[in-house]
Amino acid sequence: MSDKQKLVDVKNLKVHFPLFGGVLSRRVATVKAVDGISFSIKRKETIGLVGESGCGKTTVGRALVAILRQLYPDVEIDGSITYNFNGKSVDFARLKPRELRKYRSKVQMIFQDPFASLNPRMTVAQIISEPLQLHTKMNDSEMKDRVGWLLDKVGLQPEQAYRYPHEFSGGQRQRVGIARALATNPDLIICDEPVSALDVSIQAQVINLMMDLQEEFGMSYLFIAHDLSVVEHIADRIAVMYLGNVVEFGESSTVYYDPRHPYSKALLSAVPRPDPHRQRESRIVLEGDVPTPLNKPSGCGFRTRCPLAEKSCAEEIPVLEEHALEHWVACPIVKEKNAG
Amino acid sequence: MREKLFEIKGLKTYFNIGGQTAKAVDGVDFDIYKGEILGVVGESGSGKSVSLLSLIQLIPNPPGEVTDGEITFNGENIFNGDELKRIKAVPQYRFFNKLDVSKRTGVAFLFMVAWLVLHLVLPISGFIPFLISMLLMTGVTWYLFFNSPRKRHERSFREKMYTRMRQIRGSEIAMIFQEPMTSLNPVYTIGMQIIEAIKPKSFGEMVKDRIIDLAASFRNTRWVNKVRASVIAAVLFIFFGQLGTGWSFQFTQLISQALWGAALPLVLGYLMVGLDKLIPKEYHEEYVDLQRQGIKLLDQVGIPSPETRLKDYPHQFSGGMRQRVMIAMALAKKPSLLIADEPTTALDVTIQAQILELMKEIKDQREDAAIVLITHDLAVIAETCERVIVMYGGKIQEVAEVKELFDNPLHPYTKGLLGSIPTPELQKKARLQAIRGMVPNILNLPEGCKFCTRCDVKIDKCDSVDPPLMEVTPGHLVRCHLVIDEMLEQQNAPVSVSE
Repeated sequence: MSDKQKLVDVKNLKVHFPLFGGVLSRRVATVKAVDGISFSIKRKETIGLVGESGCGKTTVGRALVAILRQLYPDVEIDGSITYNFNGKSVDFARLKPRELRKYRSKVQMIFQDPFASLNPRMTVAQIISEPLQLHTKMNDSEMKDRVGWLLDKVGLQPEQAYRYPHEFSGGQRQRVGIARALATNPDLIICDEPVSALDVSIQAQVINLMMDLQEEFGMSYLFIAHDLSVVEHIADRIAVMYLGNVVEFGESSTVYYDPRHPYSKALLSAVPRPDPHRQRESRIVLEGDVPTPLNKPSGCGFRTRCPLAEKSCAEEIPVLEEHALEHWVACPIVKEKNAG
Repeated sequence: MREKLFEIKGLKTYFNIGGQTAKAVDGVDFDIYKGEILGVVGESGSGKSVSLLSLIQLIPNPPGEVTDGEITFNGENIFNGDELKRIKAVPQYRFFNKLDVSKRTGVAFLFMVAWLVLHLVLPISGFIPFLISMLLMTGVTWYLFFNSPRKRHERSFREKMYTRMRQIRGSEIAMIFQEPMTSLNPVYTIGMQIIEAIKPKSFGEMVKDRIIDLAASFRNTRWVNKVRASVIAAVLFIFFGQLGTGWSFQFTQLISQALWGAALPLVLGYLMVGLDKLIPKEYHEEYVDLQRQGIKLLDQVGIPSPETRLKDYPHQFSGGMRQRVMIAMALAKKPSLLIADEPTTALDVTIQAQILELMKEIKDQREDAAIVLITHDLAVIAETCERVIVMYGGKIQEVAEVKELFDNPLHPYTKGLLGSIPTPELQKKARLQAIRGMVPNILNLPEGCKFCTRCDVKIDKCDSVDPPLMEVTPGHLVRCHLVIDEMLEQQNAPVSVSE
């Protein structure tokens, strides 16, 4: 894979949130939300990011749009998020806010809750043209044309531009959110659980729309979700996260049908499939809950629930290794077994 | 065929929204058999939750009301819509029934004004006669304009029904809700809430329980810790005492403050122990027994170390554990029907698998109990249920055994739902077979088939005539003109369909 194809390269990204407490508000603990992950997104590619709640998927998404510092001023970000915009390489983890502003239009976001992510006091036209006002020098009539064109692209009527969000249904609102993200011609759209708040039939419509738009405009998606069947369908490659680490990364069908890491195996066997004839004996039901990222187990984060855990797992954090072509797994025990 | 636990006929639940009627559930017939897991699937607003809530009369009234239908539970009729209809047929007011409700207040007001004007003409004078006249006026106005025999009938009907429902709810029919955090009370321990599900407690009994708890914890505290508490209290007493006396530091004062402080924790502790002794022994035994039952329940749903978890508060539990607690509470009285309203929607997939596994275990343990699982996730239905009801627009669209439904879906809506979820057979990145359009407004449902606005295969009569729910093959019921017509054609039978 040449570097030209790569849109963004995340290397050893760590996002730690310090917790302060006590009378003198000393630092009492650190939430290691993301603890050293690396992956890359190619152009016109969809990466699926899956994992249970609290594993740091959303934090990764926010780090990629570089809004963590604005949300949490105390956050500690380490590692690099190198974007490649038309040959110019930019590290979002290091850039100052003023310099970042130039590139913000290139990375946009779609949110989970279409009811909370649109300002109820702005019309749809205002919502969609807000990024245009910030990032482009369009005049009013150009902007109006652009809004109409965008609405048409996402399957709404341009006449609906002067309505308010409450006049739309959930699926239509999500379409408005997509139009807003599209407005500035981004290279990457971070989709943070874009369909999980929608009804099944509307979900399919929105997924179809997102695939069509990718076909037409060629942007990349980082698709964060917990519905694995949807992710498998839409994503080219899948990264499985557990407690702030990527435990498995590879082609989506490989990860979905031939998971190697014990956590991915358990996660995928837990996913209910719409097939009543499926044999159920194969299901691995994990014991207990995810440990808190405040107090992570030493070594491999998954060893407390892992059926394969050995003594050596507590000693060092496993790194992603290429077990098969383009299939990375962070588990030395699985590798040993496969080799032996 | 298995024995019927519930029989629901023509259930209708309407909501009054700003003068308009929302037909949330509009004529639903289904049975629940003993020992089955029944799935109810549909999108939001399809009426799936409301129809199950109507079963146990948990519809907020007003604005909602179970207006019609017949519910039979274990052979006992627990709701009879005919009786309610008969009551509704009684004229609303005793007099002037043609008078509109909105105008009625105005007319009553005019009547009172006229009565007052009469005072100018009639020779009534003095305060007492005036007062009497006023009282009379109020009484007569109420009697003429607001006296409603129907309301009285309705009240007694509801009182009777709710009294019976209160006995049934919790003990015979239990419910698990979607969001376990909002269904648990954050200010009581899990133990208190579970025990309340087994045996409701009065305020006095709750005070007694608290005393027993405190006395036990005082007895179990080691002396080192008791002394430590005394020292802390003494220091605090000295500090605040001196603060009050302007930092005088008189020797006698310091001593008395220290003694008071040191005594306080011990005095309170022994007070609790003394009060504990006053509580009769039988109550102690019952308390211990209830605790044991609570522990057993928590153990049954797979909560580790239930003895200590009983004393924890809901926020100390994770989402999956909270849902387990909810299930434990629901199982407290060994109900014959467990209604689970989206029990796993707020949970992660791995936790969802645990909870679904637990529900199946419960079903295996108790042969004659039934579980109704309300969900929008067809995959969950495929994994857990035996029979499925598909709802849309407040009506049942399709009923079938789960394998039959997935292999041979007949209703276009069911087909659409199945096409909306990606399956392994589907080629990667292929377009999903989504249902076009969106769920119609519940205030403005189409006259004919409820699905006709989004249906791709609709014919002319779909717009005007609502098809009946017909049995196509044994146990497989569909509400669709196309399917019914095709079936009738095959049979070459004369068209005689009864609604």
